[in-house]
Amino acid sequence: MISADMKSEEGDLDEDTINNFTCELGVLSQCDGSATLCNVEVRQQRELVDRSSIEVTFRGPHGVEGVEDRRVEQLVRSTLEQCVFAALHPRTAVSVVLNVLETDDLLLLSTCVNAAVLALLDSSLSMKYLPAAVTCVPVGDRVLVNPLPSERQGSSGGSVTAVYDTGSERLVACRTAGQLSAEQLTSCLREARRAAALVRQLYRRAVAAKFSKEPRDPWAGPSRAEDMPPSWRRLGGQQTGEQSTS
Amino acid sequence: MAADMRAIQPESLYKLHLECEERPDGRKLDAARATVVTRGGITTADGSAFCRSGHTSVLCGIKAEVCTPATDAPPDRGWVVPNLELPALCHHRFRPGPPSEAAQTASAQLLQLLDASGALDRTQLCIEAGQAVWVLYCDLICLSHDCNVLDVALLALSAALTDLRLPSAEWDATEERLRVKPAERTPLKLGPLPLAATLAVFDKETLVLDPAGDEEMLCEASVTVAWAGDSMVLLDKTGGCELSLEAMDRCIALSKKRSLELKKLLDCCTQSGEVEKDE
Repeated sequence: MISADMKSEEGDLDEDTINNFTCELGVLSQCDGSATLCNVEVRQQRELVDRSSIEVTFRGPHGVEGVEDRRVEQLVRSTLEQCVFAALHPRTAVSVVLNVLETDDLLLLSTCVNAAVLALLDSSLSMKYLPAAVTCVPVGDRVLVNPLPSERQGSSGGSVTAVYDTGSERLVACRTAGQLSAEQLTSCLREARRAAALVRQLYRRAVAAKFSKEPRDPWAGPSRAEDMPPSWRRLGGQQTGEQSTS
Repeated sequence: MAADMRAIQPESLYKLHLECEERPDGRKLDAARATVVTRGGITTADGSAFCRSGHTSVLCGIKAEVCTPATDAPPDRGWVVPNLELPALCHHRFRPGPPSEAAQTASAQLLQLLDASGALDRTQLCIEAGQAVWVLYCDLICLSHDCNVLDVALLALSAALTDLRLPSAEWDATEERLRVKPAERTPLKLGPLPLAATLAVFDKETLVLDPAGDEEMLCEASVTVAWAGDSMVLLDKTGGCELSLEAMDRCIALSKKRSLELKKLLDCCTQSGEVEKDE
């Protein structure tokens, strides 16, 4: 959790305290990166003659598909359409599939955007800039960035999910939920701009970690218990390949 | 010549208009289209309203049905199901078939706006906790699409909610059945209703209120801001070009002004019960 005083210019943002931001690239072994770039025909109605068509499919964590899923897809797709050099790949499709492993309704949107951007980064698709999304919640006089549910006690229910171009620090996309005053919105947007710079550093770390790993057998599965996604650990996921004592 | 240029280079033609600070339909950049709201047009519905802004028109009808609350839902709340339809007749780009993404996202946005504004307390829709609650099916149909459907649909929905009259219903505990009296009707107690204004962004800095015609297609980004009373209940800028925070502040100010105009229109409509026109 990061908190900052709404009134002051200085804050105590630190990349280690952006909440629970973990990411791993190349988790899916059957795809180019963790986005699906398949060598299949683009469907006729989706084919664009002068650019690549970007499709985003979002599957919520439970229940049947609903109209809310379309809203998530719309935000992610419109963000990616702006940042990808679609004109370099005419008559192709970029299909981004987002599956939710663990859910927190408030942080879902920003996590989806960041996951999609990381997947495109991993797939080496050319991008004009790197967008980064954060969720800000005003609590009293402070603005919390990506707060956990326990940290959000006392908020009036309003939140802002903002996507910033981390290079030029301009707002690319924004969506609010709940009630906010104009001043709360402005403070949240300012705080989000600062936090987005830290998300960019986390992207850099994730990419560096990917290239510093020893090449490993993609069929081996995660070699350490700590590398397993939390949902696997809960299911008592099997470890193959190198065993570790845990 | 303008017609030729519009077919070949619509962006350049539009930029020439913007340089003169006027739009193709003669409006100033911060002027909205004339809006008309009519309530009670559908006599078979429990509440209805028709709203037209320029050439965009949306009809809303609300039907109330009785339902048993789900076991995993609160037993003393009814629910509201808004559904916006963008049929093939409203614009040539819509084809018959399943709801398009635009219709689905708009329906989700309408529900989110109703929830965030707190306009309708769902406990009012409870007849007997755990046994019978009202479900309001709000069907919105866009009859003509000339940009900015969400604002017009939201206004139609808000007006229809003020027009809604629920029949009196009582749960008979001894016979375990509902007794409904369709002739006795009461309105809902509503909080501040959400009202939205959309702005289109050109050249990253120029803001144009209430886009119409080609503006939605040509704009680089669009920002929708919805207000309920003094609170902002939605700010949606989905993708498009980047926007500075100063431009965002101007969006907020312009949309607040527009929502006050719409509120005045809605209040007049509710009081007089007649067609209200806002020039």
